[in-house]
Amino acid sequence: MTTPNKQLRRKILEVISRGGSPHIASAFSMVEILNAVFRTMALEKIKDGARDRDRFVMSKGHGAGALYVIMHAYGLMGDDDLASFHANGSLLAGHASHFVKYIEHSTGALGHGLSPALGMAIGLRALKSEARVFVLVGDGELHEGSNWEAIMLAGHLGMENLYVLVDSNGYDQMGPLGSSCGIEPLRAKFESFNFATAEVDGHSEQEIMGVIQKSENKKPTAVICRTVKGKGVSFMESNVVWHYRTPAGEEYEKALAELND
Amino acid sequence: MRAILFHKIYESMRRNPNLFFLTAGVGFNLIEPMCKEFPDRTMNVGIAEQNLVGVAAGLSNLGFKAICYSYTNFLAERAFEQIRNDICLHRYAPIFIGTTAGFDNAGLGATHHALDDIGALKTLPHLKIYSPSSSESIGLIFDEALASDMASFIRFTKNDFSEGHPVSDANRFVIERHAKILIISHGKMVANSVRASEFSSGFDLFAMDRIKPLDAGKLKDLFAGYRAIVVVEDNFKSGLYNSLAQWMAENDVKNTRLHSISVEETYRGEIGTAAYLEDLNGLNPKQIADFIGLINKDLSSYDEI
Ligand SMILES: [Mg+2]
Repeated sequence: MTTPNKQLRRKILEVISRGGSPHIASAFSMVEILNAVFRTMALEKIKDGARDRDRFVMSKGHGAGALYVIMHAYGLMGDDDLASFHANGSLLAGHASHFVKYIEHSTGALGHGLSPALGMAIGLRALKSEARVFVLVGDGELHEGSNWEAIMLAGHLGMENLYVLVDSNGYDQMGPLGSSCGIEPLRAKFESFNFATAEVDGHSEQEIMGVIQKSENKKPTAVICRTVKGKGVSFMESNVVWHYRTPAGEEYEKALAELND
Repeated sequence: MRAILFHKIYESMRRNPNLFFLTAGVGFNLIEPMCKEFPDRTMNVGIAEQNLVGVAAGLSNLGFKAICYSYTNFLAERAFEQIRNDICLHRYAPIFIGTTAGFDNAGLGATHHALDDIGALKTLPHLKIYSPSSSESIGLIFDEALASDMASFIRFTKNDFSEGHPVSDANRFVIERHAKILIISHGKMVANSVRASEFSSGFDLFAMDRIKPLDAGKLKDLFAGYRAIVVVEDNFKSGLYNSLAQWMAENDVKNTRLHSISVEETYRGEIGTAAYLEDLNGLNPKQIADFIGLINKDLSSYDEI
């Protein structure tokens, strides 16, 4: 049982607009990635708070709007909580926050997801658990050096229970990555750090799931998910303004109409 | 101190399967027995302090208690945001152990002096800060940190000062002879202050090895009992002195004067032995005694008026 991605995007549009929050384009680029991960994880153990549960760390914390909507869709968040997104007194900040139940780690300061995710993977290995850790990083976020400290150690340790999904939309908040500090060839970089790698259409849940469901590797896995920032709404796609802007009025109606098609 | 600390860590690892020991490429000839006996729970993450702290956060998420070992300045300052966001924000309770605090790495130059660590770290909520001053106190402090449900930062030096008897609190009198002046100190400067007794008996000495949270209960009595208090520390004034000054202001303390012997707030190009750099900053035992002498004289002339 899974929620169609268009429906998820409509919900994201609704909560981000109501909350007056930025980052809608980032949220739209990761919808299929989140859906694939949440379809893959063993949710019952997560709901039970089991020590050996699968874990998801959203390193690109500014996609919080998408994460909360996905958690809501998978029964990990109630209607009222979701409705409070970005409002005064709410725990649902514009960045993923561990004060919200089922969110493993607070992020938003970039480069703070991979090391904790690696620590979780190391701990699960010490417990001899089969559980896995999924971490979603942005491509712009990979400018932060702390990521590469974690990637280097994960590769060295052969952390087969660690899955790094890169939301590779080619943009940071200033524009195309290539115009500041290019990070390609990304797949080759991960390979050279002893990762098993795959490059997929980041808007195809099936392709993503095809990679993260099997785990025969004795290595950590990097999935380079090629995405479009702002995916699903034509005037937001690859338009950096929508990293900041909250859709309202006519823009909101126009976006909604496109997502209703 | 280091041998005692590592013996403690080793014994704790043996007793407690929930403990992890992590180092960022430090601890040659110290960690090898642990690597051998607890290979799943002992890890050298490489020279990568940010990753060290982030990994500790992930382990804490699973309910493990992590001990993170590195040089004081790199742990406190290179990984400052990791300590803030990944540890303190989450209220995780690892133990950070920073070696070579103060002027321990004197000859290696300013990059390796830990003089601003306390001032930096004490701005963070949900973090205890310790600066053990003796072989006896470091064991007690490690046990306290191990039992704590809050993160702890223990910054220590190569100093091998022993009080010759067990201590019951990290914050305690080391010399109590009812003088008019009290030295409050921590870490290696407690040993220097003890040696200042060779030149002056005009002071009592209180070791405040638990710097944060401030020992408010004890401070009331300490400030009531002395005419002047001198904070002696191998740190900038942003360390314990600054905390005590704030405490005085908040508690409207008027009858006791607070002085500081600390490291001048600058980064020097000049190097030397630890003793040499302490000397430049007025921290050697004779200089401490002379400072006490001046204040005593000042207090006496005040009494005569
Ligand atoms: Mg991006």
